[in-house]
Amino acid sequence: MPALSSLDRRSFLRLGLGVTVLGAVGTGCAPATPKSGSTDSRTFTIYWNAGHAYKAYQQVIDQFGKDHDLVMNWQKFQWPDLTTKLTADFRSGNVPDLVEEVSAGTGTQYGLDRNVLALDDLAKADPGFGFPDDFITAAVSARQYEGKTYSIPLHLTANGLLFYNKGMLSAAGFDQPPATWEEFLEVAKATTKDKVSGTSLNSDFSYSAPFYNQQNVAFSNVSAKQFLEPAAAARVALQYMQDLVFTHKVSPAPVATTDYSGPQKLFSAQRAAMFLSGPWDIGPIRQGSPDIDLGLTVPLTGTTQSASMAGGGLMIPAKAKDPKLSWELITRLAAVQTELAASKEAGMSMPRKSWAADPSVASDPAMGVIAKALAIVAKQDVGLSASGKAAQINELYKKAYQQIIIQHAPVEATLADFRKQAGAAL
Amino acid sequence: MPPTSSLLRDSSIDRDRLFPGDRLAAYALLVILALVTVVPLLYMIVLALQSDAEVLSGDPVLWPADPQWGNFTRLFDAAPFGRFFLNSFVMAGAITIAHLVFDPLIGYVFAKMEFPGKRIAFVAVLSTLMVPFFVRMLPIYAIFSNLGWIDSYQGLIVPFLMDAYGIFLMRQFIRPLPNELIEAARVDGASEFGIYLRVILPQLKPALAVLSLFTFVFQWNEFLWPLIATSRTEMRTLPIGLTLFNQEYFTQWNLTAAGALILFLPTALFFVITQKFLVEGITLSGLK
Amino acid sequence: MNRRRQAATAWLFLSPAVIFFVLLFFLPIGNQLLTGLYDADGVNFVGLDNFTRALGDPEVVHSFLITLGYAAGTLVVGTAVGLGLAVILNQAIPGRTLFRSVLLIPYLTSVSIIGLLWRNILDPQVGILNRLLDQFGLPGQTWLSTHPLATIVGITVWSSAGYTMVLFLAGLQGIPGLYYEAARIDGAGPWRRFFSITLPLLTPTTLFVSIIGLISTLQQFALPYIVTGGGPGNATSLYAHRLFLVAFNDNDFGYASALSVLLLLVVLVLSLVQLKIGDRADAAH
Repeated sequence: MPALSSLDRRSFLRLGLGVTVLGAVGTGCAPATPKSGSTDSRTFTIYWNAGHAYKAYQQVIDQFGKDHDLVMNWQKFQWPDLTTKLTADFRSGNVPDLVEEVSAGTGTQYGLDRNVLALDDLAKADPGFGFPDDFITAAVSARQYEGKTYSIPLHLTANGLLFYNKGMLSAAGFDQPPATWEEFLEVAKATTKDKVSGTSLNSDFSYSAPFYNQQNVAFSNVSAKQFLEPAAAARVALQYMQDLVFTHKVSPAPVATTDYSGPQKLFSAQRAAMFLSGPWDIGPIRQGSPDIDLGLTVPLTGTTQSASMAGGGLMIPAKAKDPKLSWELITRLAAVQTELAASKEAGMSMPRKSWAADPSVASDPAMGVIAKALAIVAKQDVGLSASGKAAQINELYKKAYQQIIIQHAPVEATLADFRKQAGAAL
Repeated sequence: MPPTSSLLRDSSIDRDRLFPGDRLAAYALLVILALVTVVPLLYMIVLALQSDAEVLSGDPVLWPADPQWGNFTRLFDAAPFGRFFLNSFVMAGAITIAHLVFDPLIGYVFAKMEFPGKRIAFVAVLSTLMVPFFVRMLPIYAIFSNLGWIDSYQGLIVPFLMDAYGIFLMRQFIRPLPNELIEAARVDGASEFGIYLRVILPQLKPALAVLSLFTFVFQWNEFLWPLIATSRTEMRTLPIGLTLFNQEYFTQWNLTAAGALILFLPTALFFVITQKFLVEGITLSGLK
Repeated sequence: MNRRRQAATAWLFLSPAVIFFVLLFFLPIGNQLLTGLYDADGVNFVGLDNFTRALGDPEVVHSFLITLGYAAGTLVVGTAVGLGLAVILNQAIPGRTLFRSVLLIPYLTSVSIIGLLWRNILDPQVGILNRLLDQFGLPGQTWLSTHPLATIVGITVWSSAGYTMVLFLAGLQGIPGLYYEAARIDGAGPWRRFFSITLPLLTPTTLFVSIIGLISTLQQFALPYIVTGGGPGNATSLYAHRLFLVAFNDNDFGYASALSVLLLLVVLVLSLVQLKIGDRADAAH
């Protein structure tokens, strides 16, 4: 634990010589008191993902501004830009009032660095909000570390849903979508023709999670310093994926980009018969290719049936002007009626049990499939985010994954290399 | 003939003889390279005119079935792009003016004046070229947020008031100018600043055109600093506004490309104004 | 006395630059240097650990090596293309101004746009290039997967060739026609004139182009960040991209600072070597 004196030294180092000198210059020529925050107290700043700027949230935020006589400053970013901006903000102390979290665990990492608040006391004082009881356990436990919760789930989705083109499958003689890995390969081979691939893998490493989860492989076990164990099962999973591309040639090799939409586009263009993804691809397919008879079903079964969890939450920076106010906005944004409005508008799935139980959700076939997948999401290792090394280790895994799937690197050696580097990073 | 006119000399008779290869082959190569250069950029127009369904359909579009000219106006409904445009213009414009004020003066000092510490000072200035901006970004951000300069024009502008590239470029332009001009003015009793203003600066018009174009283009397209230094919509700049059309899992290509074309307009206009200096006849004979 | 007055005037003219560079470059960079001596949290003094760690970090070493490859490829190809274009466009050929202008356009376009555009064009499955190749019965390319670094070099050259061309055009116009007359009288052919007059006399321009090019390629960040995200694997994770990841992804600012200081040293040394070689070549003529 850093002592107070070293915290002072840290802040000196952060602001550095430059501040000391410019601060002196600045007091001369700037307004009398240098402001620590860039915005006045009547402005409420929110950082959000540009893809999640739903009207349902806009309404809540507008109303919140009216109720509290605040100027609502809703900033939308791409995830990498949001992370960069937030990093700079945390280091300078000039922070927003509420931030959308990239994925479960990010809040924990910031929380342990004391950059965002633990929200348990606020939640306890607000029993009407229903946290954690009304939230799906997996979404809550992935955000808790040593009894503290650093973010409130906002969205909850699952990766590993099977999207399939009903017309192509029946033309190849299949009335039912595949349920196991063997069947998946069989259907993929049968539907691969000329310009159509049976399936299409994603260049983003997170899309491999359903595959290794289906082999009962845990991405990390930080307390034991283990990664992708058991190793034999991890090899099976990634070998299966690599074979889809290079041995059976039922999927094109993905291209390394920062865009995840390759498989969806191939599917939409009727050049892939099946792919595995999450609910976010439903909208683009329906909108771009309304003539495709889209089939959507539960994740595959390897040695087990499993999916991987996705979806971010909401966090309050430790230096937010008025955490109680920020909390109040969280309770409105994560209220069940807002969730229902947002999922109606954008097809997004949500973390509340009462949302899942709502007739409008329960009766929707797509939402029903998503709910089944959410019930089988693999547990996440909270130790990874707590270690503060999650981003670094994900970057290493990204490298290994792309080497295997795109560059045809030998699976076993590449994974061994990853384990070594990840272990060293810890 | 005053020696300074060499800046604009265009002696094509001499230049024809510099060319060693086969004329026709060279011309063919040129046409191919020009096409390779310009066709991808023209493709941006195709992208900008696609409908939403075409963007999502996954099939690359050669020409949209029904060109959506409305995409350009949709942009302005999605976000205050007019304001973004203004902010970008204020930022890039002010920085360009600052460069025009400072860079030639500093360049002149390094090109024509003798003083102790000159070499060290010049190397020190040049060394600043070698540090990526994001290396000094965080300390500057910390300073500026302490000064309350976040979300302000001075916050956007001050880190770029001058730079080593511009100073270096100006020095290279000024060095070949004959010393006799300066000496003559000195004999006439002109002050040092007067010499700079009345003797040197008027010779630099093409150089200043080059400097202003490169500076404006560079700052107009700057992304990282405006991202960090602003957190209010009304202070954001155009390149940042464009990222709004990347959804989490797909890119709204039509709107992004439409925005990119709007982003390109002012630099293209600036280029048209300065191009006669840029592509017709400039001499950097003192480049070293 | 006069000399002293000129020195005073020089420093007076320089004073805005001194203030600017000290406050906005040297203090932040000095601060960076200091940060490099501390651990990730900025709490514990670790001396030169961050620097020695960099030398043993396979990701950093890899990124440095591919950056050298990227810089070398870009400099060689870019200079050759720029010079070739300049020589061709230095003649009185029809449409000269139009060609010059068209070739310079990519340089005026934002690098994020260029990155997004090429990512879109080159995508093997859903990009326009393979669609066109297919239409003409040609096999599709997968350059972003098979030759990622060369592709990034290609995009860089594509976007900067016009700029290099302009600088070389300027240099060509500074060569007095006199030399060519003399060579002609000596009976030197066109290629001979090119290699023994044009090329040597362009040395200052070549030097400027290569130093500025080296500085900017060693700092290249945006292009791989946008086009490939550093992939596939880490094939295009250039040094500045790695540095950015260490700072903003891993939150390890001590290490990132050390990496940036190392980059500064490398660029400085390489530029000085280049200047030295250039001066010697220059002096030889």
